[in-house]
Amino acid sequence: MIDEITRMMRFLEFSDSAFPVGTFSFSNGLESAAFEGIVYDATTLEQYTYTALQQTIYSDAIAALIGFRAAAKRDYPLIRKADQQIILCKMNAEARLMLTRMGKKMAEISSQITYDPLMEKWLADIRQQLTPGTYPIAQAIFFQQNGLGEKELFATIAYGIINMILNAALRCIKVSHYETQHILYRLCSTAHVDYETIKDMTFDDMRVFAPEMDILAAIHEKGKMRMFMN
Amino acid sequence: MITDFTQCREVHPYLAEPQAMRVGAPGKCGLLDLVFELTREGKSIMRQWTRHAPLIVQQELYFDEAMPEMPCVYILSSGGPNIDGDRYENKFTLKKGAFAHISTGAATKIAEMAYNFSGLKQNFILEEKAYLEYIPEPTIPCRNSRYITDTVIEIAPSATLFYSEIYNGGRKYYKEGELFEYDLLSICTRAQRPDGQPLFREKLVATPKENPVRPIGMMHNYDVFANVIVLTPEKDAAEIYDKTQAFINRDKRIAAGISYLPNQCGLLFKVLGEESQPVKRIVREFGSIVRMQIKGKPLPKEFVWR
Repeated sequence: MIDEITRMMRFLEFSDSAFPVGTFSFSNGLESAAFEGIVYDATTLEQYTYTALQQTIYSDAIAALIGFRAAAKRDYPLIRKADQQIILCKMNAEARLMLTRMGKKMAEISSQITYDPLMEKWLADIRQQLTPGTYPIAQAIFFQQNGLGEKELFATIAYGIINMILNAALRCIKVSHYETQHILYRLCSTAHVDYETIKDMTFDDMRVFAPEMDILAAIHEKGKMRMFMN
Repeated sequence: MITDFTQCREVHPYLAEPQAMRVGAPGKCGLLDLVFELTREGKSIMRQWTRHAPLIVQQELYFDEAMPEMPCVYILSSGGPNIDGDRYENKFTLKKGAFAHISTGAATKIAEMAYNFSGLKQNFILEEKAYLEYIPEPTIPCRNSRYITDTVIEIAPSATLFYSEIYNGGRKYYKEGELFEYDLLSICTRAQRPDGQPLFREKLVATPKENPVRPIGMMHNYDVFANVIVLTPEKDAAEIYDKTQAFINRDKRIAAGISYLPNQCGLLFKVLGEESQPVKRIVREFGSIVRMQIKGKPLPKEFVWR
């Protein structure tokens, strides 16, 4: 058993926006939204971030929780299924690229700093392209191996998407640190309700509804702006 | 396997039996089972057309001026709008090398509901080198309506499916205007290869009364949304992608974007607009790019009365 202080330290480490999986390289379409004048201040940024958060909660977070519980039982086929479901449901190429790059990086970091046979197998399968290796599933395995709970996993996924967009916003939109922290604070305050809503959901419940965000991602994919990756 | 809708979490609040006619009563369960195949002379024909009212199709027609060899079929409903407790089922099969164009005669209205929901199950089967354009008129979900669809596509690697759907926000010009006042719109589309390999699964769920759809990134200021799936060989998908623009036109308030689907199975094209006509036009222009790539012929201009 891991002691409480160490557990909290691990939680802080793995949910830190500076955790080096390349989060800073992606904007989730925000770059196009800023260029098109759709997101231009704190109010519009909060709406955009809210939309991204909802999509993540009702897709990645559902699969991650299933993967987390599967990792506890060492149910490898179910872990792989959760990984595959995330890719099947991710409708733009940019998002798939983001999740697989970050997922592979997370697995690599994990195998560097600690040993777990499940994560070793996971990384080997990613390298052999036997599984896509998405970020939420790497997080699920990593959290399981480090004694963290599923609520912490959920919080990290939700916090991660909010923080990714807000950090990107500081580089391409006229907003202050005060405003982005305020948005983060507000959006995080409803996460517990979202967790209760999705915690028992299945793969069949994974869903999205963000057509404008999809179009912005497509514009970014085809465009020449490259402050962030696609 | 097609879903039993009552198992879907989002319809659980809407399982009460209709007071007028029970779910499954005659006239409330439409069925179409259409099979297209090539004759020995190489003509694509509708070989089988099983239909149960209120869904109707008539004999295929060959009116497409750019592709007079293409059988065209319009789906009609004798029952008017979809009401609570209605269940519809479409099965479209295109045998090896067959090609067809399917549309609807008018917009599909999802009527105001007090009980239950309306559901549509669809099954598309495209064998090798088959080609299908499925371009129905828009769907209009009225106030308090609940509509769920589940579309399962089985497609061979060399076949092409152009599958479009357009959803209006509601009866925009009815009385004081009605936009996003429906209870539920749940649209699930998934595809697989004949050997069962899954290709993608997209489930769009909008519950505007519980979760507003106006935030930036969702519908924002737009009222009409088109979702177009093109399943086609990888090489053709790359050509179509290169020829298709992603744009936001702020003056005309219309936007479109294209991206690759998972597993190199094709493309996803989305359009947002204020009115259905410009959205329909852009979907049709995109359809023309696809047809030109696969069949070497454009889509003709739409009839003026459509």
